[in-house]
Order: sequence, then structure tokens, then C-alpha cells
Amino acid sequence: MKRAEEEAREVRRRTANWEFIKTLPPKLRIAIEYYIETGDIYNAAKLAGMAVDEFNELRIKAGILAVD
Amino acid sequence: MESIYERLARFAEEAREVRRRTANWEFIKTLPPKLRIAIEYYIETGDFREGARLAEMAVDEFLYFVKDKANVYDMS
Amino acid sequence: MQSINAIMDTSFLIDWVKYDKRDLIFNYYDLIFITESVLNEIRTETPLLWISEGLAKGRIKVLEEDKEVRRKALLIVEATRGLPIRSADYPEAVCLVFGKELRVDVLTENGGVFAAKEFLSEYKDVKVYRGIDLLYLLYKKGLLSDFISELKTYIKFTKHTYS
Repeated sequence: MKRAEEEAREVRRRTANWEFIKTLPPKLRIAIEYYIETGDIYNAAKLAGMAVDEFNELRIKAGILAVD
Repeated sequence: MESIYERLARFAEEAREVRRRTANWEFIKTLPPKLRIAIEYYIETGDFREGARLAEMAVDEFLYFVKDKANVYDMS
Repeated sequence: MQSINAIMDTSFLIDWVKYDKRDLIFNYYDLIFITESVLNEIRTETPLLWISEGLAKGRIKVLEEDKEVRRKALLIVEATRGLPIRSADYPEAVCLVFGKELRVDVLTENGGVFAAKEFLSEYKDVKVYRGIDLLYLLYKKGLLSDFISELKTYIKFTKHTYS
């Protein structure tokens, strides 16, 4: 289970468009970075001050692949 | 013996004095009107939320600006 | 052993994250709650990074406010309006409501919250602490060696002083 989590994190890190992420204001950037590290979209959305579906759109825009 | 209202009023005045006394007024005077007015309002009232709204900043942005740049201490 | 938890409002959070020993709070409290209304007021890196790290470690949890919490918080705001000090603002009032409901310590620098405790008997037993009070608790627990010196450091880092 831990290995699967680690693999999922690696996929998120690798697929992320870091150039785009760096341009985001701190609130969104930190939320995205939190999501990349943890896969926790629920709290990432709260950090960003967004609804989950809004944050999910940001995730897609940042190129991050969500792994189940 | 001091009533609770008197105690609260005395404390509010003390806190206002601390904000006034520690503020870097030279710096505050150089700021654009919107920001200057927001900070002056905050110094007089202690209402950082309204100050942040007047300055069009987030609450933390405003308080960090007021403390770090304008040297305004707060008290509780 | 029973866990001790706390809820932290904006005024406390903004100052506490500037303190160089801020993570000692996790040696005292098992869990720190932060409400959505507090989180919505935060946009700068230092507090957001601290919250994000705490969330990732499972030591910080974000609380949502339901209708009942909102209603009670608004009553507190109303009750403290017209006092000689600043009234308890909504985000602080929410913390006081949760402090009672969840039986957690409330961490705040807002005088309105302390006033609310005096005027509203249902909140009189809620433990409410300022930065100076938390530093003293940490000192009593042996996590700080010199209370006065740490307090001076805290005031220097946060530009928040105490009467």
C-alpha cells in the first residue's frame, strides 16, 4: 500500500507542469504542491480556497495525473 | 472597583497607544492614500479585518505589512 | 492518556508561525484545528506552508462550519458588538463555538473572544489562550527552559506584546 502511494506521488510529481505551477500565487501553488505530495484533493482544495471540482480543474491545468 | 466595561475600555486604550507609539509614521506618510488610510484606521481601531478590506489585501498580507514594514505592534 | 487538542484563529496563527519554535505546539497538542473561515483569510506563504505541512503529517485538521455553528457564532458576534473593545469577529466566534462543542483549547489574540467568555455564561468554561499563555504552558511542561526569555523572543518575532 505504501509502495502504491509512493508510486502515485512519483507520477504526480513527474507529470506536473512545474513551470506553470511556479507562476501561481502562493495560495494555489502551495495547495498544488500539497496535492502532489499527498494526493489529498479534499484538503488541497481547502488550502486553495476552492471547491473540489474547481481544484480538480486546476490540477488538470497543471498537468498532474491523478492516480487511484 | 473597576467594572468590566471600564476594564475593557482601559485595555482598548492601552492597545491603541501601543499601536500609535510603535508605528513608523515617517514610513506610513510615504504610502499611497488607500494604504495609508487603511493603516491609520487599523492603528486607531485595532480592526485589522476592516483595515485589510480598505487596503484590498488579505488579512495576513495586511498584518504582515503593517508589522514588518510599518512596525506597528499589537497587544492582547 | 487523553489527547489535548486546540483550535487556532487567524490572529493567533499569523503571529505563531513567525515564532522560531512554533512546532513545539505539536509537543503539547495532539491536533490543531483550523476552520475554513480562518483558512480563507490566509494568502501568504509562511502560514500556508506551516498549515500544509501540518495537514500532511496529520497534526492539523480543517474544520467545516455547519449551519448550527454559524448561527451560534453570529450570536457571539452580536453579543460582543458595542463593547468598548473590538467585538469578536465571525472567524474568532466560530473558534469559540467549536472550543465548546469539541472541548478543545481556543488559541486567539482577539480580545472580543475573552469578552464573550465573560458575557456569555455558556462559554465561560472554554479554555482560551493567547500566545503568552501557550508559551507558559509549554514552559510548565518543560518544553521551554526560560519563560521570560522566550516571551521576549516571541514579542520580537511577532511584534505582538501583552498587557
